[in-house]
Amino acid sequence: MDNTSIIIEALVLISTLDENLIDIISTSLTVSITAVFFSCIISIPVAVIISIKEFTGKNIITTIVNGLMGLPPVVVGLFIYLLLSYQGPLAAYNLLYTVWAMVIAQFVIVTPIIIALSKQTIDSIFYEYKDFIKSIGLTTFKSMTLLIWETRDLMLVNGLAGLGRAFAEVGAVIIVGGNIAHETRVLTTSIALETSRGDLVKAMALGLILILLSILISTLTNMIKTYSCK
Amino acid sequence: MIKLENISKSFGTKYVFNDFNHNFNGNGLSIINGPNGCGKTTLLKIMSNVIRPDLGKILFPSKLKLDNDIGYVFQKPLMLKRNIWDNLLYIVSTKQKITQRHKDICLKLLMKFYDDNMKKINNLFDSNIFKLSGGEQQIISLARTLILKPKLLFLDEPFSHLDDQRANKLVSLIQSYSENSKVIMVTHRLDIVKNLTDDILYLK
Repeated sequence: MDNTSIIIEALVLISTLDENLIDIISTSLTVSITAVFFSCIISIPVAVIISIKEFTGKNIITTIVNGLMGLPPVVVGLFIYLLLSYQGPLAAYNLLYTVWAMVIAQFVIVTPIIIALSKQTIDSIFYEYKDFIKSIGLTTFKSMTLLIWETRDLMLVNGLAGLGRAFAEVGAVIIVGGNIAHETRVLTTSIALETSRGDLVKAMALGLILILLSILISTLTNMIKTYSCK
Repeated sequence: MIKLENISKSFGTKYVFNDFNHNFNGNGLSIINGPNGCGKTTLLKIMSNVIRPDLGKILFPSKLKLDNDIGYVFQKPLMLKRNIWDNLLYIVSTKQKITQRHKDICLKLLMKFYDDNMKKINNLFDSNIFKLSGGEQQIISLARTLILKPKLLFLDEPFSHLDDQRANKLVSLIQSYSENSKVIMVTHRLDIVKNLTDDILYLK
């Protein structure tokens, strides 16, 4: 079968909305969106505090966060595996080879990215707001809520950047999720599996869906950026 | 009386103030004037606690509550990414519950600048905040600060975006406001305010 035929058959497979395919897509979406959602809840306030507060070690923390943006997913997977495995400190929670283990892995991978991007966002506007905030005597909490609300569209873009990274991640989720059919199988792990099995049509179908999701995220990001400039 | 005692402030190696002393009267209008870059805005920011001096202290009247009784209108008004009402009521919302009284005060203030014309004010409320003129943004910034009736009001070049008609309206507003409060204003427009006060501090 030549490459063109593989692509055509993959498109046909997508159009049939195969139940198995839907299951994989929904697991992918659930895992990544949950990880990014929880990450945003923590990352955005942390980023604002790092940006607006002066404290000892601020530069070191910023450097560490920036460094962690390039965390190798396989290593993250390995660490989470060690934490959740039978001999690990979190073994009692029985999370290994569940979607929650995958959520944790993706959370660890995207959190430094969202913190770094959100810090950059706040850094870029804080000089405009600093005097205003001081002049009305806002508390740290109220300053944070003001700044997050003022940058809400850009924060959404940062979240989407994290989501894009989470969708494309394969190394960590395959280690901690185990790629179990109908349970922890996501787009990227399925592509790896189907390719190794030789089912290139299915692998291509899953790949095209992954690309489509990436394009969707990118389009949403551009739309939000355009709207925010108006 | 507001006493500035031995104030020093530098940015890098450049001293803007070095052991500076001055007293401002307890009530009424005081004006700070001087050439560009002499430290007028810096002095206003030091007095309003927006920036800290390197050395020295500022003594305020004991009855003044620094958290609630100080208002600052910046030369470049900051507009928040929300509608005009929310911009007008933002400072109030951070300090107390918004009531109809606050909205009434706000409308009354706006009326002064819009010829008591409700139609013009409604048009203002229908506008995109970032598409307003500099003068209109300045009026919103002023109204936002004045709703809480601060006892000590700092104005930094409040006429810079206003046309002559609105500048004159602001002059009369400042005149009446300073009867019961302290207003300290940085301005280059001595021509329109010199009759209001003799308390003018010239910085070099």
